[in-house]
Amino acid sequence: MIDPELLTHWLQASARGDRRAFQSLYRATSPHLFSLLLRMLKRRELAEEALQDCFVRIWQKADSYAPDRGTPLAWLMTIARYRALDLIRRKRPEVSLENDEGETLEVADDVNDNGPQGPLEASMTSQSLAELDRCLETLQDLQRQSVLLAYYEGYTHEELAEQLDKPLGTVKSWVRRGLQRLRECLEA
Amino acid sequence: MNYSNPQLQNLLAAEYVLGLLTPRARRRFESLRDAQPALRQEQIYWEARLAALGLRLAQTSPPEAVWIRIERCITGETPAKYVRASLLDRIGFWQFVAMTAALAAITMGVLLRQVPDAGAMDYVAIVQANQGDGLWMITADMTRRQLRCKFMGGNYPILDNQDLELWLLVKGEAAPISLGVLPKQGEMMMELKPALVAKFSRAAGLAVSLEPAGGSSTGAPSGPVLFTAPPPVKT
Repeated sequence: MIDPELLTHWLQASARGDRRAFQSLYRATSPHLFSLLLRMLKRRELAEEALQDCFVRIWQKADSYAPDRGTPLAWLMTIARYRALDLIRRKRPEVSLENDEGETLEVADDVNDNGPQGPLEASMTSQSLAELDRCLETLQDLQRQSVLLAYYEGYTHEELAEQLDKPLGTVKSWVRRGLQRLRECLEA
Repeated sequence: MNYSNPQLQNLLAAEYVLGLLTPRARRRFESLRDAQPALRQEQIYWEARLAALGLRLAQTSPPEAVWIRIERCITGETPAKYVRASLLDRIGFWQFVAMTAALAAITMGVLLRQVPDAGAMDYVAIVQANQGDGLWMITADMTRRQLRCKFMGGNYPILDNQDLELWLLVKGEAAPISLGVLPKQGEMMMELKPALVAKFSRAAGLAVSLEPAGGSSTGAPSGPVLFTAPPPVKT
């Protein structure tokens, strides 16, 4: 049902104050944003609040979306992720990293365990998803894990080093090599 | 890090997007990026690519309360300006023409919006009966003289030997002009004859009629008008 063109249409109508179009946009995309916020923020009430912040912001800045920003859905996901990163950074000092320990090495398995996919992915992202998956596979395990931990947990270099129990310099350089390789594979 | 090395700068963009950087390194990247469009492109590249990681998570519907709160926050800003058209099911086409004023009546949610960035000479309309029903996006490229009807999804219960035909109503002209049969899947492109191009600026509305397969053979709607839409909007 939904393709990027329709999402773009809704975004542009939202920018002109069309609340009905905005509601359609929300219905179609919020389950994606909410999943990411839940995954990153862990707590439901935090994720709900963040989702609300995101969509109020999307309403206000819908006119800043342009097709050269990528697909509308990717743009919306980026807004959600940066919001989650903000919240994570704000509360980080209070969070004991040990609390997350049991979870960290499961990330790769966790995300491969795809749930039912809606028409949204099927129509617009299955290709880019498959491509990213394929390229992630070309990374060494620790490189891939670092990228995934950074994406889903919002870890900084320092936190990655602590989590993986490796020297900071080592972590930085293997992440960089991993990203370099990922870039080359995506461009190939 | 040697920040003047383009390759390293690109990797810095990836690290920035992932959130790996310390606050200080983040700010340094931001000032570099603000000065270099290429670096901004690199940031967008990674944002768009890595979004796939978020999209592979199983979807979770948020509770309705979240939408209610969002709606409360945005109410009082710009009012909604969408247009609804009336359901003119099972009435004759000519009655419909006479009843153009009833377009504002509400039964069928026909949404029509401008797409400002779609090109200077284009028209656009979205044609849909009720929410969840078949939805088509109609765009007219006046420069290339092309009409495109794209099926966006939804259900529309018609028989195999039937088609939906799209009509343009023109101010000052009694007869509707066929814009062709709506595709059941995918999209359909049609060349716009020069005479038709001129008529878009005088359009009074769009209508969809139920026709035998292939469309009306008479050049005028032969079946009932199922739904209508306001005229395509110039972008």
